[in-house]
Amino acid sequence: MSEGESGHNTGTPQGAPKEGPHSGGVSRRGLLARVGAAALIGAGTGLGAGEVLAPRADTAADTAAAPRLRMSGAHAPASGPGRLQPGITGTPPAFAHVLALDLADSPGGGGEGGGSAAESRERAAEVLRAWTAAADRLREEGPAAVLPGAPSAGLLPASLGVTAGLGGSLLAAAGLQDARPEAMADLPSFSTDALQQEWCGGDLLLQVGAEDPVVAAAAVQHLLGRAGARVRVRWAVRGFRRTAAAAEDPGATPRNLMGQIDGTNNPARESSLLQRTVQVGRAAGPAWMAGGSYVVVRRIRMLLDDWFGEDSGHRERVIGRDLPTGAPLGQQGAGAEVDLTARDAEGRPRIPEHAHIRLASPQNNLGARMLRRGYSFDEGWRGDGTRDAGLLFMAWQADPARGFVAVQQNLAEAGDALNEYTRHEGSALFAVPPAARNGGYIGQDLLES
Amino acid sequence: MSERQGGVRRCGLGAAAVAAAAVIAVAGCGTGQQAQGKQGTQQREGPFLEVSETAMPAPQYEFSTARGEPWAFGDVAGDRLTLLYFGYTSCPDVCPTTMADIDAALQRMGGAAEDFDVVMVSTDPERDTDVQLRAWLNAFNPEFTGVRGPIDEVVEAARAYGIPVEKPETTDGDYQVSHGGRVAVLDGEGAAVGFFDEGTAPGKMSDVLPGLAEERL
Repeated sequence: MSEGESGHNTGTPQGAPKEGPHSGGVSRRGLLARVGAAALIGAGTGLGAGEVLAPRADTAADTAAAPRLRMSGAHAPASGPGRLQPGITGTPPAFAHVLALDLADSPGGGGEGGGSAAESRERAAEVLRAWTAAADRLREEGPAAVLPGAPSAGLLPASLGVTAGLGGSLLAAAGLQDARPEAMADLPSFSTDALQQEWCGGDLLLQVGAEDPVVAAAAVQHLLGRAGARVRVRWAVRGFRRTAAAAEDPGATPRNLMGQIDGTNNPARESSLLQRTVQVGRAAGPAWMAGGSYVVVRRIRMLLDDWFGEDSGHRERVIGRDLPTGAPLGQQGAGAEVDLTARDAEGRPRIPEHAHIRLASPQNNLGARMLRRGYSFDEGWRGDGTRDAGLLFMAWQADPARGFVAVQQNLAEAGDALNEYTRHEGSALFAVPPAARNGGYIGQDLLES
Repeated sequence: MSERQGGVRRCGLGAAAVAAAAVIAVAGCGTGQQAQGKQGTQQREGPFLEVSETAMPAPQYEFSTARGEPWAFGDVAGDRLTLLYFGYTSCPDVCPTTMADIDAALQRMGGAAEDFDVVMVSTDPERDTDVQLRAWLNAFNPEFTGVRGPIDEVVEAARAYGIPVEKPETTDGDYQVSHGGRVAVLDGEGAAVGFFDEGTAPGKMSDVLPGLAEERL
């Protein structure tokens, strides 16, 4: 990300077109002009700064959208039954705050032994009602307009998207165990777990994604303000990916902090398979989750010093992919179909026995699949000097038992070579109901059942 | 454990091995608009190869569904067409994509989808237990039928329809399974009257299927 620092869009890689005469708004706001001319390919759309596009469908095809459009638009789909919330299948924006919140035991400190099921249910409904309404306004009006004096003043909506989910502990507290879908069974423990309770679970999930970190932070502040004393944050991670502005190819699958191209074998964008992998079918459980999805969140610390202390050949064999291109070892191109039977001249498997991609493959997990849509995190160093950075792994699927759980069990039990360099320290599962109906709120069909 | 990539799905390679060589040559390579088969003409329309004049009759095998009911190619519903696929649940990409695309095609067709059944015959019956096959298909459509039979008979049945698959084999610890490339369309007697190429988009299927139902039912 060295080009374009001066704001002069010359000398762009791959001969990217100069900023056109219609993109005056871009220059005026200066935002993208400073972060790299490569980002401006196709940006001459003439959109005025602050102009809000009509909400677009949250389709994964958005990756192809020019960064300028991604800054202007909002990923969120119009509300409607049976539709996924934003922030699931769409292009992951560069920044996401992921928060798990618990219902406060007794808001206002009343001494009435608060926390009855009915109260918990009502409190959860109030929070989700407030978030649904706030998310709608953020989408329609932009974060700068919603809160006078917000830090996001002067910023575009930047594809801001809000996703809300419910944890099993909430259903228990609200007396809704009977409505708990089978797919929402607690995750089993895995032999490789190094979980710390403060990073596990949560009554509610809030994911706030945006292409700009200030937009995301301002939206989080606003949403938590709307929830007030009804909730307290249990854990939170600020996730990030490489920005579209910095990427030579904004459509390319990004790398994680270990340098691996991460997400290659996800179901293809806009494919029928993607939808059926992620979205809960109508007949697959209680109606309140039809059209929704389940997300498994794992806070995975990476032992980055150990990892980068290995030579690159070793790192490639741990994963089973070529580091520069992401191609499966012995093949060409990141998109090449993984051939687990390939052998080298000495007859050894090209993709080693304990390589991550071998053990994670659907072929070794009875076809288990999921949409991986994680974020890197870097929370600096802990008090004892431990680097606290890694992957906030997020896997979306219609049924975790046939997605994350099956694969993680194999990775743990069959000895994934990557286990040595990672520590699963946080874990949570949330049901993410479909987008709210017009005038309704997320989770309404459960909480008013 | 792995999928075999070579041979059975490759254009032309399987042709010599099967009876209906002419059909394979056309369907597998997908270039000719029309080809002279042994017994008549075959009409290609985009990714769909219609072979109604040389329909391949149902092979005689007694299999069973993942719900434990007896099932035979010749006993498919007489008042509907059946979309038949040979695949397996641990398949990394092609089989789940094919099932997802078929379901998407039927959804596009609305009420016209009522004229079709969908059947996947497992090419990996050992690992595809009834429970596994049923659960996997449910993720696409609970109404899709999963069928299991002895693998040797499954291989022969697939070949009778001109779809080359091979028996799973274990070599050096790798488990190799194959799947058929194409989706066969069976008439009410279980005879294959046409094939969709592997990877046919849902929209292309939903363009062809209603007309086919009208013509054949």
